[in-house]
Amino acid sequence: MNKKYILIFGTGVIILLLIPFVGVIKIDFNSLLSNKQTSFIFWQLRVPRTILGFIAGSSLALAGLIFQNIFKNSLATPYTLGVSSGAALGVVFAIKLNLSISFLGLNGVYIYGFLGALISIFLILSIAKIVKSFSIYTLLMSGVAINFFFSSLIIIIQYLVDFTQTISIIRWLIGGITPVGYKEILFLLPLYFFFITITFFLKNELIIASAGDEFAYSKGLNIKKFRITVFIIVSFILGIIISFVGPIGFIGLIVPHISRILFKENFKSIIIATIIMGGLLLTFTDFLARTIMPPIEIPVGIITSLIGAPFFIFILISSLRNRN
Amino acid sequence: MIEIKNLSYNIKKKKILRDINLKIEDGDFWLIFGPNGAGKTTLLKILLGVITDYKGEIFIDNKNIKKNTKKETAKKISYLPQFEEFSLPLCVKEILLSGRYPYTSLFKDYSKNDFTIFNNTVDQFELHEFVNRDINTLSGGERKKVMLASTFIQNVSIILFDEPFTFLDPEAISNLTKFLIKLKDNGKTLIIVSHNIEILFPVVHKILALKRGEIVYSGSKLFDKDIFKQTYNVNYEQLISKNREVIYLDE
Repeated sequence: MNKKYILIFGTGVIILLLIPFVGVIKIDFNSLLSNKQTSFIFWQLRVPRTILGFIAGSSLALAGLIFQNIFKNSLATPYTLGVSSGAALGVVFAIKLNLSISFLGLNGVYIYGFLGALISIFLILSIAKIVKSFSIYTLLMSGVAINFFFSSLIIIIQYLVDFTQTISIIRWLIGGITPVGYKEILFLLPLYFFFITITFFLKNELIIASAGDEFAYSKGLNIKKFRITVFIIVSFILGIIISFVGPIGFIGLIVPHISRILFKENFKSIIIATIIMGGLLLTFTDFLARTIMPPIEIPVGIITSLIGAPFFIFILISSLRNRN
Repeated sequence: MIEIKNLSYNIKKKKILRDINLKIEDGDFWLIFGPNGAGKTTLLKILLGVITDYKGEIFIDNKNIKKNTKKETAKKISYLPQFEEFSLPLCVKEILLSGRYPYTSLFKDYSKNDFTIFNNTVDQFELHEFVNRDINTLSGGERKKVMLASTFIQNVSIILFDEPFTFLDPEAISNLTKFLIKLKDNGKTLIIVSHNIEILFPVVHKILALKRGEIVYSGSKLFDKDIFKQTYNVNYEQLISKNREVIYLDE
């Protein structure tokens, strides 16, 4: 187990340190110190971008892990629960109407993304309340339905907007890490640490939740209350993250899955591995996105899905084979 | 001691349980039986606090269970489900430790004492080789053993079982029965829902026969033909006799 840790931590640190140096403009130590322009690219563009990628990637992965546990379903992700599409609708709406309210100095698009996610959460919870069931089935089903509904609204808006807006909408929908400044990072960091902290505090509850409702009750956990509370908190955080980077798929599905395979015996290790690998995966794919076809940047969402889907099928096959 | 007073429970207009009155003394060993849909599992779920919108009152040690927190209930009562099926990989160690969850306070991890109890139970149940494995990779009998051990770690006085013998092979059935007797000798209150009457009749103290949500009989009269026939519509001899090739229904 120690070897696995060292491997993940080691590659992590190396990747994170190297990534800002590589790109269309190569940067070495000398130019970093002597050249004003390269030092600007390094410190003002690439470093914050790497940090944003890491925060977003590990938050998406962690959200996936938590959703899987509280819904006892390895396919529960930000996508399947409709939170992503709500955020997407909010952002698309903002682009269409050219809305630009800024909030605490942040771009207004983020706020619309967050509001969209809130609408999703509200709708899912209302449906659950009407049918008087906060079961996995209700939440997943209403999430899927909301997903479809919002997706068609997004397509309608896409038809109505002009060409440049369509491009920025499509780019956002695929998911990509746009250059940000430190203001955004400073806004996200406390949220990120809060997210990680509560996950560790709720470790035991998350384990018990994954073992089923009757099990949870017999061990003294009010699973219905727990599930709803955690669902709301995580969805709030997701709404914010997604409004920054777009609905990047697959990270919330693959990373928890790999972590579970690597660290079967310990949920705490699974959490740590999910946080680190989620962050690394997104920073690394973002790095690929901006270096594969320079100077064109491919939206990172394409790469995560392109690598993610086959890789996921590979893992699925090998783990199912081992089980039988 | 559990006291159930005028307990009724409906789902929409369908009556699941009707006017149940029952007193379960400490150290009693109860078998609850009855045809499918009699309300047996519902009764267990109400005792456990999963279902709360029932009519009537239930007291455990003279305290209304609605006034207990879930953790307080879990210090007294534990439940073993019919199937131990887990959709996600789950480490045996973590299942066992969750038996200490009722004793933790909010946002606190398990204490040294909790780990000592855990280690002792692993020794006692000889679970060393399973501790770091995913429970989904164990056999039915082994899973049952792990779940029992987690109840043991929980240190409850009342244990509810829902069809504990399903999918067990004869050896596992015999082991489980021996363990139940051991629990009984240790003064635990056991409540078992089961159709496996032939296994349990020799060991239980009292029976509760349920049919369509109503009590047919409750008490210590074990081998009574009429009770049996009334509950299941099957002749008792037919089920218990040694050459029971056919179980026929009267109707």
